[in-house]
Amino acid sequence: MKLKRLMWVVIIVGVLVGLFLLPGGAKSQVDVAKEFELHPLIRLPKLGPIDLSVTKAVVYLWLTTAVIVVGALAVSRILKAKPGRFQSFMEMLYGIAHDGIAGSVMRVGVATWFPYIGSVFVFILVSNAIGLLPLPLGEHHQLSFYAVTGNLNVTITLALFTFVFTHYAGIRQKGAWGYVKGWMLPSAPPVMRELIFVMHIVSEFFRLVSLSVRLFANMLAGHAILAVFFTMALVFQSYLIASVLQAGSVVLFLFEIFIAFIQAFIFAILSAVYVSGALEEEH
Amino acid sequence: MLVFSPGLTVWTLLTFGIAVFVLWKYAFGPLQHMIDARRANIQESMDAAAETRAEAQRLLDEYKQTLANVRGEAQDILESSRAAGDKARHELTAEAKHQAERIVAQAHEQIERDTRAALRELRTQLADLTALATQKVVTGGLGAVEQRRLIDEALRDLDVEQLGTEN
Amino acid sequence: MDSHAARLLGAGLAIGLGVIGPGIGLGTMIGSALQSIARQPELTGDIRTNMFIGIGVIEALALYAFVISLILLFVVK
Repeated sequence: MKLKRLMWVVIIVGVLVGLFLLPGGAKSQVDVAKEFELHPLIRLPKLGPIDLSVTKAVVYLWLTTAVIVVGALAVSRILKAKPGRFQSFMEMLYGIAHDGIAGSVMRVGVATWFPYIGSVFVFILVSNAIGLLPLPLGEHHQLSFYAVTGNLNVTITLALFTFVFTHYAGIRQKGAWGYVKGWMLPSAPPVMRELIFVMHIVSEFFRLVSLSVRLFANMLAGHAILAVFFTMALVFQSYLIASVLQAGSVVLFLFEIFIAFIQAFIFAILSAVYVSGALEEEH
Repeated sequence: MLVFSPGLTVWTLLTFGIAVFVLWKYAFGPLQHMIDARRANIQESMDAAAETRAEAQRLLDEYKQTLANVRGEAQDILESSRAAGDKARHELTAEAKHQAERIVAQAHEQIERDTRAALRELRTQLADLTALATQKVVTGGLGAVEQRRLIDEALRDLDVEQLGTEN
Repeated sequence: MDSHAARLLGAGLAIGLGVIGPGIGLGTMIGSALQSIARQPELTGDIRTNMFIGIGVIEALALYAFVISLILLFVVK
């Protein structure tokens, strides 16, 4: 009950703060796309082509990792046989990751690959959740929403982890040649076999694309819609329309909480499906 | 957001790597351990509870059985004692009746005997009296009136009613 | 029609037309999943998990359209 009230307070505050998230305050012409542009907050020297400058996205990544590290260390310190509310919550998350995601789709290798599947679930969930908090990291240090998972570079890196681990798992299980041979249907006629092999390779790369783009586009679209609702209130310059739009943005915000969870869930469960597909005998 | 930036990729690799490491080393292991321990604990308690319940059930059955036995035994005892009582009463009654009958019979016998004795005595007395009367008649040469008087006199000594009641 | 207008039009058309198919697909998918759950409530967990996998796969199509419209809006010059 108390938690529920707290949640409502957070939502209402978040939505009200949304009114002030716009760059330059009450500009009537707002470019939503600007919200997702990255400007270096701390400039660092370039290492060849790699620009390690600390941008908004990097700060969000740090925050995500910090939250995870603090949470993990805290929960490992206070572990008790009779769990408190915090430990129960952590155990619930763990249960979703272990039984709901890894356990439900992987028939083999849960013990080996759960650390990765669970980590990717927690990482995406935490970064999505942080994306729903207004933080003063905008261009002019105003409060704003930004999700680091709404950046294709981040999601494609995460998808690459899944991609690499999938093939590593397959190769470790069956040997390099045995794993690649598994992609060819031995029963197919000679030319078709090679064609299927090529199609399989293409589909492996499309998995990479679909994993990364799904997460990226969902988070980006969600934040863009939220930003559009917030900016429209300014565009119309009317308290009546603004209040209606704020009601709409509350609904959208709730929906975004759901999306944040579902996207983490889907990313992790698809990773589990891919890894277990590489591990299984018949392919 | 669609611009390729290797720096962000490197940062992602780094932060995600740290997250995986920390979660793996400090969160998942202990959590799994704790959940397993709790599951084992719950299993143990449930087993113990089932055992206790079975034990209690067994005891209850045993008590029920004992109680039924005891009740049956008590019933048996009651019945047998009732039967014994009935039998004793019957015996006593029969005995009493028998005795009463015997006493009555004895009394009858006694009465008969006494009657017979009385009659015998009466007969002898009658004979004596008759003899006496006869003698008197023979010796006195009496008239009819005198004769009658003598017989009455003789018979007055023989109180018939007394004969019936005294003996 | 200058190139800017064409870009805007293309972006709108891309996302607008691109969500039709996935919309139908998601409707069919979720409808069948709900039917299965109504028919066999004891399999709710499995059905829901597989439904989310399916949703993820179908939804990706709409998101490709979204990305294409983003590319048209912000990348193509």
